[in-house]
Amino acid sequence: MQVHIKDDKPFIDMMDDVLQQEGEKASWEHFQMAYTAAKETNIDTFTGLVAPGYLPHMTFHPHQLEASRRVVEEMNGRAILADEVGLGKTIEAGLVLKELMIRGLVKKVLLLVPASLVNQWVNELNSKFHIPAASQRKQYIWEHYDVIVSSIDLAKRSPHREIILEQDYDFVLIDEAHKLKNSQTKNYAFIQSLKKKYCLLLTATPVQNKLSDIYNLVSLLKPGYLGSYKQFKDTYGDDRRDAEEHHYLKELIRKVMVRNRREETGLQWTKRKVETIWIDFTEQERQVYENMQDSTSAAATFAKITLLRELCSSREAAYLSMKKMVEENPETGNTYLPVMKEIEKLPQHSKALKVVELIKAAPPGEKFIIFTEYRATQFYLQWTLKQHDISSVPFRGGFKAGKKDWMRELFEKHTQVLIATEAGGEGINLQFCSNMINYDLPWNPMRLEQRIGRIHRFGQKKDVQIFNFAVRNTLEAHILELLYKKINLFERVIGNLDHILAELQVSDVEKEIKRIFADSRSEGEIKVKLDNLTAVITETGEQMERDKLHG
Amino acid sequence: MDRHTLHQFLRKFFLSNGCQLLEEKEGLLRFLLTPELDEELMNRPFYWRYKKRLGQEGDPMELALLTDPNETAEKAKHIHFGSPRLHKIFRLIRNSAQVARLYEKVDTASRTPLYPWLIRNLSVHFSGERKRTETHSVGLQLLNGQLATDWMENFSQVEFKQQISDQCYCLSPVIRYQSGYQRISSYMHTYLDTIDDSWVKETAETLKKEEDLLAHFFDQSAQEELEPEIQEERAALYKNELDAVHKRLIPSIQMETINAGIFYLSEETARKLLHKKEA
Repeated sequence: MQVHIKDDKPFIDMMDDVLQQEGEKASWEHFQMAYTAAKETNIDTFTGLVAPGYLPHMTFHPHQLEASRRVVEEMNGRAILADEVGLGKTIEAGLVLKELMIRGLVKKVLLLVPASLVNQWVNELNSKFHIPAASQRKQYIWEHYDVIVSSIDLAKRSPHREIILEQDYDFVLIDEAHKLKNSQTKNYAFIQSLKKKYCLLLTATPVQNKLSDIYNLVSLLKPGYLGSYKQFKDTYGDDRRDAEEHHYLKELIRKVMVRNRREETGLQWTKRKVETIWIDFTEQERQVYENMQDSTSAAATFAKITLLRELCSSREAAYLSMKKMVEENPETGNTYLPVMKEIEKLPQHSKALKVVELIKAAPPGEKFIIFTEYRATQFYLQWTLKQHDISSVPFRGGFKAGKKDWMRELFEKHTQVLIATEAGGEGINLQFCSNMINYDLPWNPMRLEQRIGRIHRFGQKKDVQIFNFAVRNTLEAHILELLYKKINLFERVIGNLDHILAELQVSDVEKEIKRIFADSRSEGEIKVKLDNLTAVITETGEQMERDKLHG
Repeated sequence: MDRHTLHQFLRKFFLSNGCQLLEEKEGLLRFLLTPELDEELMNRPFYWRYKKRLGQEGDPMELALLTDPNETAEKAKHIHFGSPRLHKIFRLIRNSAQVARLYEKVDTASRTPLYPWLIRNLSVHFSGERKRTETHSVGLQLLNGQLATDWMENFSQVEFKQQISDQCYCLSPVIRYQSGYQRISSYMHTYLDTIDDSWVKETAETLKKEEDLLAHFFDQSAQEELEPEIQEERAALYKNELDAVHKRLIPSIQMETINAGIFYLSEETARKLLHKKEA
């Protein structure tokens, strides 16, 4: 193939003019410096990205460089970044943005991220990429700053909305873009109406599960490309399987989406060491637990299961739930009031004491993250640790962004323990800590994976130690033995767990398990049903691995 | 460019542009700017506009630059490879030094002829699926047509002045500047024919694939019975998308002259440095 070679013809005419007119000519020193400046900015290899050379303080992993390069060079800066949790989507996005800025293609930038992550984005862009990003605080900022990070909820509200829609953005980024899969929402319409040259959608959940997801996200990146949804559906069918088999659609997805998987990154991950800590209830605690289990009262089975779970966590969690139920429905007092009386008499919770024991046995200053499902337990644990001179900070999803940053910082610099409830998991990086206590286990494997992902991620230098606490002969024991150990979640990263669950159409694993407990008449039945569930999860995973190899 | 080179580069840049060096230590440079550089670098157009309107001379600012990322100093800004300010400086220096006519500094008591050389520095941009840019420096002796590569690198230690040294005189070129420039282009063409062109084939394959993909998505709907308006819209979109793909994936090579000049050089220096290279 013949390549067209273009010469720089105008230059010689300009040069001729300058030389003839005796005009301003360069000194040797300046002539040399101009040559040096050009040579330094010229990139002499086909490696693609310029930006890494400008960020010598950063170490990028090969998959991050490749992902960013593809987005810039092959996808024209319009892409879905769908790496698995913990592989550094933020880094890839920052690199793409930096690259586009260095190449002079991008000036005005809008990043829409969850409110709790606004500060983290601002910090990372500034410190890691030297991109002068500002977080949205005041109204005027939209027009006066070039790089702005905001939450989508704030951005879409008046008067911000109107101002933003007037701006011509060179680059728009949406973090947690899986929330945009539904085209009927206000958020979707808002993003669609933004004026944007380049656009990145970040998501940890893959989008190829549902045809409409593909359609909606691709339509944000390539408006009009796919025609109307009806045409699209008529062509590619309703089923994801049809869609995936479709050569062109597959090709298109490849053209707009980058998805790195852990196992493909070829990186040495630090190990996960898992230890189960068994706790025996005291005689007194056991009595309360069994009374509740055996109560054949009017109490709904579902409620009973919740209470039993709570009782395995703390007296407070169970007590508060019962109190609330009695307040809402005084008739249930017959059942619960006696139990509450018994709980009041319990001096401590054996599990909490075990936590103290474990932390005290560790080398001084060794940091721990404790995850619990219940706020009441969180308070109780904080109090208990304090009684034993162990410093701790709480962490909740409900904290404002600034408070989250502050707590994270306190934990990193001053305290030994961070006690988090579930929602605290999203997006925050705690890789400076390598010990995690699962004080109680979520009943959804995805959520557990996210918990572990807080510390077992890039930047973690040590092996990660996971302690799973479970009280013997309780529901907890079943969950641990029959669910988690079976699917082997702790030791390995189940890359496509999200995929598998979507495939099984189990939208709410927690409910599914609750139902198993509620509907079963015996321990044996619970075991059989949970066995079935885990078998299906494992098999689907293997099946998908095979599909991937052959497809 | 490591930070020591950067430090020296900046030092030279500001001093040679008439700025006053107020403070220098390891990793730090503090200058008093000239009004011209203040206008270019400090981003305060209103100040200068008002001052000019009032017919007053402005007070140029101090600029402190940290070339060591680990250092800090009062009011000092870090400058590093990739920071917008350094790019601005690169652009300034490139714009101000596009053409030169320079004479070798020769200490001599006897009449010495200087030979004219056309020096052309160029960036060669390879653009395909991936992009890269080579830098070349080619010199052409304008009497006998002798050609030398890596000219800037080889002659970096020679001293050149804008005035001719005493006792020296210039020989007139036989080859005109234009044809000299053209000869360097021809040389580059020959060179480009010899280098690995697998990137061209790779790019062509990708181009084909992307054209197919586009054709598929836009043909699909062409078959549907659409309203004429929508059909038009989609045709326009198709054209846009196709243009973008072509722009990105039709392989090309572009030569861009960084700067060029006529350099008068003694025979001795030319022989010494070019010979050294061959040895």
